[in-house]
Amino acid sequence: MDNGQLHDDTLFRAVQQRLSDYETPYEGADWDAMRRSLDQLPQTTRNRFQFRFSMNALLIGAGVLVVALLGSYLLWRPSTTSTDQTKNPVINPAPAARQIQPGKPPVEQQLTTIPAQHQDSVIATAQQAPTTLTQSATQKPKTTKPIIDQGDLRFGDQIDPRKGFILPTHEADSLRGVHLSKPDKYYDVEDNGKIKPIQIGNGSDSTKLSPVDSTKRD
Amino acid sequence: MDTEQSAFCEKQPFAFVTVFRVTNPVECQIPDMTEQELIAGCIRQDRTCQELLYKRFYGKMMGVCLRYAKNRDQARDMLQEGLIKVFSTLRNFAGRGSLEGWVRRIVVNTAVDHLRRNKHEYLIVSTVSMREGDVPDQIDQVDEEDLMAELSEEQILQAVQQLSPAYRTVFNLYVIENLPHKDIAAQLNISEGTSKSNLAKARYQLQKNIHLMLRKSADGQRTTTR
Repeated sequence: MDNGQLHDDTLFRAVQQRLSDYETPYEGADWDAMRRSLDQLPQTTRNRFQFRFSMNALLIGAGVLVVALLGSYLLWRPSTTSTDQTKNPVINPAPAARQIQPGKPPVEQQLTTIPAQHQDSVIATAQQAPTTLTQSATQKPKTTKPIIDQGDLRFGDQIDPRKGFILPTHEADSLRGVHLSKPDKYYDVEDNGKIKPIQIGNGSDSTKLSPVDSTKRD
Repeated sequence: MDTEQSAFCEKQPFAFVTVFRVTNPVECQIPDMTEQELIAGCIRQDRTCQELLYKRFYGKMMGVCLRYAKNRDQARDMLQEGLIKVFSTLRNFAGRGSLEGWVRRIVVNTAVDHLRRNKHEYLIVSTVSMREGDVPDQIDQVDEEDLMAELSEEQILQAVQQLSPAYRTVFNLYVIENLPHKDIAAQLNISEGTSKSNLAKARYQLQKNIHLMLRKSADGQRTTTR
């Protein structure tokens, strides 16, 4: 007789056929006793199950943390400081005149009164400036246009409407603290920094500034 | 539980079902559950699922325990101890083979261990009292099956319970569980010769028990007809 097959012995075979699938009716009282026994068992299986569940939660949390750190790094990483001067060169207004960007309205300036003898020198410096500016402009790429930083404009700067240059004729810083005793006299700052009065004709009359109006009044 | 959900449970691996069913304990209240869902619920110690599993296997496992025990109380103890082991080690069920076969093996081993622990309570003799001169007739093997047909399952079970614990255990392991004498000897910590001898004695004793039972029933019928 092999395992799983019916026995050669008739008695064994008969008992096997009658009792192998024998079932008793269910009794609810037995489950109550079973439940009480299960309640007294230690919760080791639940802890293992919780460990398995918590491992999945840990993996998910670690993934979220990695994504958050990566995102924060991409957002807050220091950006490379591009030289704005190469793209948008800011022309130093001190040594040379500045070029007005086309399309922008000219800055309305109140022209300071400059004696005629000084105008040539001022214009000469202004004329020198565009050459240097053009030279620097040619060196620069054609696509880049010098943008005038209007924050650098100061009271007294002069604009040449024909050439479009702002002449650095603003009041010098050194004159700010100077107390002028005679308001009808004008002063200028030389290159060496000294302050010299401006001779306006023979008197303090402002109408005698231009050579055309040099007629004397009786 | 619709077919789609049941199909989903069948396709997913056991660990996946275990994790993602933790937040849905309401499903254990449904009586028509798949086996995987029932196992998952029992592992997380859901009493409803455990009760369903208990009800599903109570009848057959109680029948197994009644064959190894001498009475119903002892069988109830064996069954409770066996099913507690089932609930405790259910996570080790790898899904190979049927769940009923796996539970049955645990219950049988529990019953055998129960008898081995309490062997000092039992006598290695038959419990059937024999009167002097009352020698059982030699019964032809042809009549045995016909005679067994006249008895109910409860009567046959009673005849088996009347055997001694040692004979009854070997008889059940060989005849019902279909284990070879080598495995029986290893499990009971006896020799193969002892296993074969116990089986022969169990057969002889069972024959006598059945004949006595039939004779009692026949005598009872004669007294009622008079």
